[in-house]
Amino acid sequence: MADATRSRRRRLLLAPGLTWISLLYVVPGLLIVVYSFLTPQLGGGVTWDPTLDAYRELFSSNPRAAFYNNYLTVFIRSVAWAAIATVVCAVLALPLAVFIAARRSTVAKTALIVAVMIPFWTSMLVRTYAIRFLLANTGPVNELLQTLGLEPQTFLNTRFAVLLGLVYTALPFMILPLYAAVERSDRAQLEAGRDLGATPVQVFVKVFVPMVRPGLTVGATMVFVLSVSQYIVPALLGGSKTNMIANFLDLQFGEAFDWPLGAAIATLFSLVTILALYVAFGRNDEADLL
Amino acid sequence: MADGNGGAAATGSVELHSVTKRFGDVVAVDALDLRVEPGEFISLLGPSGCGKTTTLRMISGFEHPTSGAISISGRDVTATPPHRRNINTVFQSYALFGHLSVADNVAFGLRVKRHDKSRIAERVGAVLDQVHLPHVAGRRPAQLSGGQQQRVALARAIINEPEVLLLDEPLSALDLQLRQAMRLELKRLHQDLGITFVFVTHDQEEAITMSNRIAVMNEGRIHQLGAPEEIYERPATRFVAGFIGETNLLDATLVSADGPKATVRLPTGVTLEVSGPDHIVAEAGTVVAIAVRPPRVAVLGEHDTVAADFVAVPGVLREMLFLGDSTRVTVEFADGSQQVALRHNDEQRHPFGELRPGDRVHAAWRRESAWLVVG
Repeated sequence: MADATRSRRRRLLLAPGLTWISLLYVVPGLLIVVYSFLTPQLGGGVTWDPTLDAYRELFSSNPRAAFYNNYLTVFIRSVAWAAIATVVCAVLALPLAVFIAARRSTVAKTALIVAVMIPFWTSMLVRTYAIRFLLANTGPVNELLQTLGLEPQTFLNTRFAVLLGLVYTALPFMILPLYAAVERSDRAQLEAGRDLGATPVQVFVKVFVPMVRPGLTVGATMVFVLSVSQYIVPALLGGSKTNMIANFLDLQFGEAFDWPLGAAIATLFSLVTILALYVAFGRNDEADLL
Repeated sequence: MADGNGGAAATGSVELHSVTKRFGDVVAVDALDLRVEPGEFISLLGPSGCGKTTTLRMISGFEHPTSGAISISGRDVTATPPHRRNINTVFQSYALFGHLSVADNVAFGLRVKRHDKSRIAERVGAVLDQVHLPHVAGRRPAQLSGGQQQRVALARAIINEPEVLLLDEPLSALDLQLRQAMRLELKRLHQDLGITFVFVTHDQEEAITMSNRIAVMNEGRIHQLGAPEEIYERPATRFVAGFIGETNLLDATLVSADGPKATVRLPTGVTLEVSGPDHIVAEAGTVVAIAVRPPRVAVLGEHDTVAADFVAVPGVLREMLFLGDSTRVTVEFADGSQQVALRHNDEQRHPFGELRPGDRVHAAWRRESAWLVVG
């Protein structure tokens, strides 16, 4: 009896968090799904006439909005760029994580970790504007190129600028979990690999990567989720031709006033994300790390 | 093989030629010379920081000597990376691959060398049988007990049929009972495989019970290399005498030396004869020590007669400690040094007679029981 009461009391502690999540995530999320099946109202909002028009428009090969040859292009572009950003982040972060973990002094480690997190202290909007300034046609980067006797380049409003912005924003989210995984890893296992006749490359692939995989999975998930839903970076660095999903949603809700279409792409997008998370974490115990 | 000066007969030998390893200002291993014979079980024994693990890591290739050369099976491997030396290590922490099953752990070495799949499966089965673990092949290392992990680490190493097996304190993480069982099993495995074992330990009992030879190390140097009995009975230095088992070390001055016999004078003025190494290389007047093992010390009453082949040193009985199997007596000599005698409590209920703490006594031992320690 006493145990049952105690466990009921403990469950009560979950109430504030659950209320918060329900009111601010679950209910609006479900509303979006509902809206995607309704008819748009002129000037925003919806009328309660159920229809599949939004989904038909979404998969249509002849879309209404002139500057999209296909809505799914935006969708695929977002996913592809997020995937590329994830790979680039992993490649950049792994040596850094190993470098930080290999420092002997705790002070050096802490200093490097703080250095990784310092960008968080400044608003992302400010930082993205700073990149915009750096990459401008007459900005410092081009000035440097000219000083070196090279041709100035157009960086802004290119895919390169968007990718740079995505990687810049998300990199710390890859470094931190990877660093934690490297720090926890058993260095003796690397030696055991060499001892058993594996070349350094074989040890990296067969021992090191599996050992830090939990960190890699967490980092990749965070980078991917952050990048795929980026709004500021494509808006400030990419121009209109490099829209990503978030910019498209903004357009539907804020300017085209086609709420159901926006809700439909949000719904589809959420489904894909949930599926991706299931693939990453559903079958194993790595979810513990989140 | 072709360039080996030792040829096939040397397979399994390990030679270190004046190997030195420095870490910054610290000399971990100091001009070490050692030849390990093919097929022998040799222990590197010493306290932590004595350089035994560094020596092992230089043999396996994880550390490079600052100077000197290492050869295995007659081939110089000083510059050979670990994965190209035909030797394997059982690590102190076992270092099993957590993401792989037991069978995959054991198969690792053969897989990276791209052996035939069916042969690998066959060998994994055979080796797991050899360490008595055929039933856990599908489990992960984390699901095994410490003793089982130890066996998997052994299996993972010996499946590669190394010329030399290196063992880095492999038993230190096990509880006493398991440790004792594993000692016997390691010894059996050594006999079955016929390969060279180089065993690093700080546990003298482990070294004594398993090894053909022991290298006692301290501060980067080998103090003595020899069979366990030799190390125990005839310690070369004060360090060895003190590290291997319990011993009484008495300061003394060398009076004269004649072959394996010597005469020394204790600070209390007592002059006595002791045995020593075949060629005592010390001049009269040198400060030396004599070592007498506690079980060989008799404690006699002040007026008891001392047998002719015994030497006796007067002192005061300070302490008697009943230990169950035995009784331990501490005697203080006139110079203030305290020495220990140990007697089995067999049919005599009071092995030390009616002696009591505070009594004047003689500590006595057979002349040949005292051993001269020059180093």
